[in-house]
Formats: sequence, C-alpha cells, structure tokens
Amino acid sequence: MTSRPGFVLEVDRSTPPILMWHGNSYRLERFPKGARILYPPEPQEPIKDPKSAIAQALESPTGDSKPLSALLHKGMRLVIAFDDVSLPLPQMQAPDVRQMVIEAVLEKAAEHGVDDVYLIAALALHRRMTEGELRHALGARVYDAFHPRKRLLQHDAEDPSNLVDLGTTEHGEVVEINKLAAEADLLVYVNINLVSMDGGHKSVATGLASYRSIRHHHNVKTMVHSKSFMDMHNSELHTSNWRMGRHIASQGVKIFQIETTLNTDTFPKPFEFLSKREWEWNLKDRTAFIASSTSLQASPDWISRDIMHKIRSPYKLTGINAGEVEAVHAKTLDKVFSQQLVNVEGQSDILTMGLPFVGPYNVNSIMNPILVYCLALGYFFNMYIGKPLVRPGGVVIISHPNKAEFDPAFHPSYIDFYEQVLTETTDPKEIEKRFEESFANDPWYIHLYRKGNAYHGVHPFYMWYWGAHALDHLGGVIILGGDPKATRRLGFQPASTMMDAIEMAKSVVGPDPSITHLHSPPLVMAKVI
Amino acid sequence: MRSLVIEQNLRRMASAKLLAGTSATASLKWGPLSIKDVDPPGLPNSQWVRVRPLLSGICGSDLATVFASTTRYFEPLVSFPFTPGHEIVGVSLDTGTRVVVESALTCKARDLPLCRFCRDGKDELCESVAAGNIKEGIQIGYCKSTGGGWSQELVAHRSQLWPVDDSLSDEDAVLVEPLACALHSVQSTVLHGTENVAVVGAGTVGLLTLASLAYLFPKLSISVVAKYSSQRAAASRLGATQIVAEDELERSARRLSHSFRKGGWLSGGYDVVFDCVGSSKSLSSSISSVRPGGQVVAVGMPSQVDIDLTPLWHREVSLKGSYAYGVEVLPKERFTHLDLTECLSATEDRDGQVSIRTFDLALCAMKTLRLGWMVSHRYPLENYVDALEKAARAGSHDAIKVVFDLRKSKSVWKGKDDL
Repeated sequence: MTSRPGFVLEVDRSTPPILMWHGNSYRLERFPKGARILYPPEPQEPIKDPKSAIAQALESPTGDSKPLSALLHKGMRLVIAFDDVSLPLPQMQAPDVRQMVIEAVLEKAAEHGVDDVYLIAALALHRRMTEGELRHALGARVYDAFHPRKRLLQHDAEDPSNLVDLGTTEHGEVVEINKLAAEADLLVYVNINLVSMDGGHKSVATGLASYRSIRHHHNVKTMVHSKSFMDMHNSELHTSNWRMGRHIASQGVKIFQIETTLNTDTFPKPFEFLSKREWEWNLKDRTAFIASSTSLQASPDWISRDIMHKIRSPYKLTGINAGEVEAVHAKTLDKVFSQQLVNVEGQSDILTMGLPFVGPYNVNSIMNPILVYCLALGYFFNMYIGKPLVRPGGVVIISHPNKAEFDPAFHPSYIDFYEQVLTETTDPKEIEKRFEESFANDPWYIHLYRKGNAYHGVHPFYMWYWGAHALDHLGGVIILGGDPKATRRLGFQPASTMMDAIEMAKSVVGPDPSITHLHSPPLVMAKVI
Repeated sequence: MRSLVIEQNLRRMASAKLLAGTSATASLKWGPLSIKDVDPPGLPNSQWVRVRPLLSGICGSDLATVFASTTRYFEPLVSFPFTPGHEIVGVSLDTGTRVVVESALTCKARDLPLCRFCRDGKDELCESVAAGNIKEGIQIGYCKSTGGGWSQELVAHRSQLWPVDDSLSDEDAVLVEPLACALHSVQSTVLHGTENVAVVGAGTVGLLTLASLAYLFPKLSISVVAKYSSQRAAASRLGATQIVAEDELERSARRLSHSFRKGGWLSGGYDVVFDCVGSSKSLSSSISSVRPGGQVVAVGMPSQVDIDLTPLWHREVSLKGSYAYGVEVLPKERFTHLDLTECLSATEDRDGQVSIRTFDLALCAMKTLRLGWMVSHRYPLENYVDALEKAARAGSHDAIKVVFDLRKSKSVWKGKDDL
C-alpha cells in the first residue's frame, strides 16, 4: 500500500479545528475561512529487511567508492563517526538506525581482522551525549564493548591535541577537524538524514570540526544567503561545507559515507492522533487528544516535559546509501524529498506554526526562548524549496509558551546570551560583531563543553544566526501564548489568542491577509511554486 | 515658620514602622513626622548664618527615619525634635548668595579643635558628632540646634557653605551633597588596576555613584543593576557599560571576568561592587559577584541584614562602608582628564597629589555632569505626604530624586521675601 501524499487544505465551514502544537502540549485552533493548512505526507513504507538493506548498501556502494569490505584490512585503524543526539527527533524506538548500521560495519571489520576501531560522536559544538543517550543510539552491546576501553569518544572541538589543521579552501576557509578521524586509514560516517539540511560533506566538515573552522559558515552572512539551508543548491552554508569537504578529501582523508533516511512515522500509538488529519480522528483519537492535552496542560512544566521527552518515535528506515559522499547524498536527498515535499502554490501574508516540545538542541531538556526562536525561524521557516511559504514583509505567528526557562547544565551560555546580549540588541550582525568572540572564547563555557554536557559558548549565537534569513525576510513575528516579557526580549510581539495575533499581523501585512499553517510535525517541506 | 519636624515619640515611631509595609500614607499619618509652625533656630554664634532653602532633597536615610525603618543606632547621635533635610540648596541670608550646604556637623562646625580625623581630612569619621556648643547630630537635618532643609529656614556654620556658580541650576545644586557622598565612596575605593566594577541599585545613590565612576574613571567598565525601565534609561544615559537585572549580577560577573563558577563560588568577578541598596539580598549578591580579594562597598545606608558571610571569608572579600565626605587626595597622573583649576580648595603637594574637599570636587563635577535632570518631582512642603510616598516608591513610579520646592514660600523675616 502506498502512503498518501501531503496536501494543502483550504479551510471552509466544514473544516474542524486544527491541531496546533504549543510546547509540551497542543490545542485546537480554528482558522479563518480561506486559510491554507499544509499537511505532511503520510509515512512511506519502510524497508522490510533493514539488516539486508544495510549489508547490501555497504557492499554495493554509490559513486566512486569500493565496497566497504575492500577498504578493510588487518592492521588498519578504522574510525566510525556518527550523528549525535540532535537526530532523530524525537529519539527513535530501539534499535536506533545508528546501532543497526554500526553493528553491521563492525561485523565487516571483524571479518577482515580490523581490531583498531574507534567510535566518535560527531558533536561539532553540541553538548556531549550522556551515557543513556549513547547506549540508546549505539545499543548496549556496542557501548559496553567500546566505552570501557576508551574507544568510544565524543568529538572535542576545543582539544588542540586532537585537532588537525588541513589547510584552507580556495576561499580561505580554515579546515580543522578531528585528528583521530582525519588520520585514520578509513573514516566511516554514519548519518541520519531526518531533513535535507543534514548529511553530505556537512557531516565531517561540520560534525568533526573545530570552532575555528565552523565559524566560516556558521555566521550571519552565510545564513542570510542560505535560501534555504534545506535546499543545498541555494544554500551558502552547504556551498561552504562542500568546499571544505572536497578539501578534506584532497588532503587524503578517506571517507566512506553511510546515509540513512527515515519515514515520518513520528508518534507512537498513544499519540498517533498527532499524525492524523483532524477530520479523520475517530472516537479513540478524540479521547486521546482530550485526555492528553488536558493532563499535559494541567501538569507542572517539568512533568509535561518529562512525559513528552520520553516519547520514542516509531521511525523506520526507508533508505540507505553508502560510498562516496556526494553521490550518496544526492540519493539521500531524493529520498528525503520524496517523503517530505509538498507542492504549494504561492506565498501567503501570514505563516502560522505550532512548535513542539523538542528541537535539535533540547533533547531531554528545556526549550528556552532562544531555541524557540531557532526552531521557528531557523528550522520551520526554512522548510521550503524555491520561495518561503510567507511573502517578503509577511508575518510569522508562532504558538509556544516561550517561557524564560533554561537548563543551566546544557545551556549555560544561553542564559547569559538571553540576559546580556538580547537586552542590548537583537540584530544578528551586531550580535555577531560585538559579542561572539567573547562568548566563544570564554574559558568557563569551554570547560563546561569539554567536561560537562554543555553546548559550546558560541552555540546560542548560531541559533540566532540560524534565524537571520527569516528576520531579513519577515515584517514581523508574533508568539501566540508566549510569555510577554520573554517574547519582547526576542524582539517579537506576544498575543493571547489566534484572532488577536491575526489582527496584530494585519497592521503589518494589511487587511484580508492570506494565511498558511504549517501542520508539523510530522515533518513537511514546501515546494513553493 | 513652617517646618517638618520629627519628634521622639516611641509610640508614633512604632506605628510608622508597623504601617510602612502596608500603607505609606497611614505610616506618615501615625508616624513621628508632622508639619508645624515653629520658631526659626537661633544662631549659635557669629560664625553661623541663616539659610533659606530653595530646594531640599529627600534622601534614603530621611525615608528610613520618617518610616522608622532604621535601627536605633542613630538615636543617640541625633537631637529631637529635629527638622530633616540635609540635601540643600538655599540662599545665605547673610550675603544673599546662593549656596549649597555641606551638612556634616564636624569639629569645625562645632567650633571645636580639629579631631585626629578632621585634621587628616577624614571629616566623615569625625569624633565630635555629639560634642561642642550645638546639640547632637551627625548632620544638619538631624540636629535640633540647626534645623534642616525641610523648612523655611535653617542655620549653618560659615565653613559649611559653598557658593553655587550661576551656571548651575537649583536642581543641579541640590544634588551636590549626594554627589559628594558618591564621589567620596568611589574615589576612595577604585584603585589603580581596577577594571570592572558593578553598581547595585539605580536609585539616586546608585545613579550618582555611576555618574561619579564615569566622571573620575572614564575607562572603567561599569555594570549597573537596575530594576525599573526608567532606571535602566537613566543608567544608560549616565554611561553604564552594561545594565543587568536584579538576579543577573552573578552571571554577569562571571561573564565579564571570564571566570569559573561552581554553585555559589566564582573564581573571578568584579573588582569592586558598590552596593547602593543595602538589603540582605543585594549585599549577598554583591559579595558573591566580587572577585576573590575584591571589595564590596556599602554606599547607601544599609538596614539590618541577614547574610551568609562564608563566601566573604573564603574569598577574602572586604566589606566596607562609605559615609559622607571630607578631603579627597587625587594622584594627579590618574586624573589628567579632570580640570580642577576652578576648584576653590584644590592644593597640590610636591608628589603630585591634589587634595580637594569632596564638596568642592562635587561642585566642579556638577558643572560637567549637569545632573539636575535627575530631579524628577518637586513638592511644596505642605504636600509632604505625597512627596514622601513618591520618594518611597521612586523606582516603580518613574521618579529619581524627589525634592521639596521652597522657592515660593515666604521668608520668615519681613522684607526678605525677594531673597
């Protein structure tokens, strides 16, 4: 049975209220007649026998690459790098696709007598994963085999003894990556391509790089010229990463890229109504919605957050390709787009979106206002190819409580960014110029990044840059149900009801605005024509 | 003449204290302060002159007295009944000139031989606040013999009067006394090598401390804790490098000093923190935010506090008070940006140290700073309840300095109304 494609619904009198995420909970909102709701495609059929598919991908590589077995030999050093906890979202039900792929690679390595093997979590400037997260991603067998022998490592972008300067690209970009990975006889990268931004040369050129290197593409100028960064052919972020990736290859780093794609089966049984179209809800779905939304809203934040972060997605593997980076990634993108892309005719004046409880950088943690900003204007806004869903000068309405709550262990520099930077300015260029260097080089943040579980000191800046293109494009941003003080701190306007928010937006876009609602998650990407 | 008077009435003081938390109006009504017709104070001797106030400020210590929220420490050091008001610009009825009053009642004003502190220019530590031919009182405004600024007339020793330059407005001039206090606290604390300081509180004392820091040490990085938006705006206008919210001071200290933090322990912090609030919370926060070996200066009059001194002990932090003014000694090479040629009392010794009375320095500084805009509200004496209520809630009511405006009140002496 083939899955139904995504589509655009035009709201009429018979349209029921639409589900809208609101942080750790969700609610139903009525949209004005004529508004468009962009529904994601249903999850594609998964690969029936993932183990065979993985084995086949490893031995039938894509592009100019030998099969994995041909690259393995006794006495060599093999490094397997893998995507960190920021993927997939929410975390998938065991076994995680990384575990399946890494076990297959390790079996092949064992068959060929390769015993000098390291695993590296490709953190870039993200926080270190906890033991529980590593066990979940790799499986207990791999974790227990590697961790006690200190062969399960997490990339440290601030460890000068384990970084190697590979020179610069033709554009003068410094390429500095993990030394162990760069000097291995073979670097296997195991990726999860949840969205089209992931993978390709970005895996190594960003995931295993240092701040000195990453800053060349994680900056305001690059982000403003990435339209969108979900569309690599129009993304300066990707162009820079591709230059770096090619430079890495030219320096003799041998990479065997393994990219996987998942379907959009995001929510397990008790929450499956979240993936359904509202008019197809049955009695069980309605009951589940009422019971869960009522209890989540009535619960203290920490309880509702805990409940939601325990969700494990029943994602299933839809594709795996291995071999040469660019050839592999081209196939990956085709697969991602075939799952997520929906054609949309024209832009609208207002784009609405409900933000869920989790984004890439608050797994098992709090979604603070900076992450709210990033998830909305960095990620959801950029889920397009061609043109944004909202016209230039339009308004985005975000539904989220947007409370000024922070996780001091994971996001210490975010707190200072919120208190000391955003009180001065919200202009990405000014923020970059005045504050980035000082946060990036702050020894305490570096210490917490290296020894604790903190995001790097510069990370909140990148979150802010992530939204730079949207800020450049939009005429206004309104946070529906957002804490007024925290919302104003971001430079946005708070609204208490959807009708209020639309009325406020009219003062920017004019009367009778066209409205599009991004009904996500599950993930959906718009091809605006 | 009309005068606000505080009497030593324990029942009324207890009522004021009890009611202050719930209703400022009730606290004032039942408290020790009242408006009265009284005789002008007599001149103790020929060295004293009559002064007719033009503007007289309401200070935090006045509020503490009126609302009886202060400790009883000062009771032996004042003489009842007294007229409050020690921030005064007025007219000398002797010469007809506009003057500001250096209100501290030290040896010279009391016609006593100079004590060891006054001899050293440390008038603020004077031993003679309860001696001499006038009654007890640390300053005009706390002494029965002198009267105070919240009236139509007071008396002051000639040595306490400083002529006001015509270029200064009455509003500028009424802030000279609190500015002198701020300059003293800043000048005596900021040492060579100090880079980062914080000012906790952005009421009048905090803002004047900030202004003094920016005036004397323009290269300093100054963080200010401001609670209200009007205070933030004022702090920004006065040159704060950074403005932080109440609970952000410790994190801003860590950020600025690029230091390490473990729980309440901070490896670095501000070199000096000026606490201009004086509460348990502000002092605790100040002690936690200053660097090991740094200084916390209590500038405003603190109340009784309950604070954990473990970080003070462990990090060898110094906690010191700063009161009033005296003589400041300025190493000339550190203050080349200041033009002190117009200061009447400035003298330079052979080592290049310039000695100058703080009040004189404040008058000179005011010509540059022009802080009269900080006088946000003026009230006639009769509206003292409104005035004191406004001053008590200054921050939340967008007020900074509240003053009594006596410029339209008639002289108590016939034929002197035009003065």
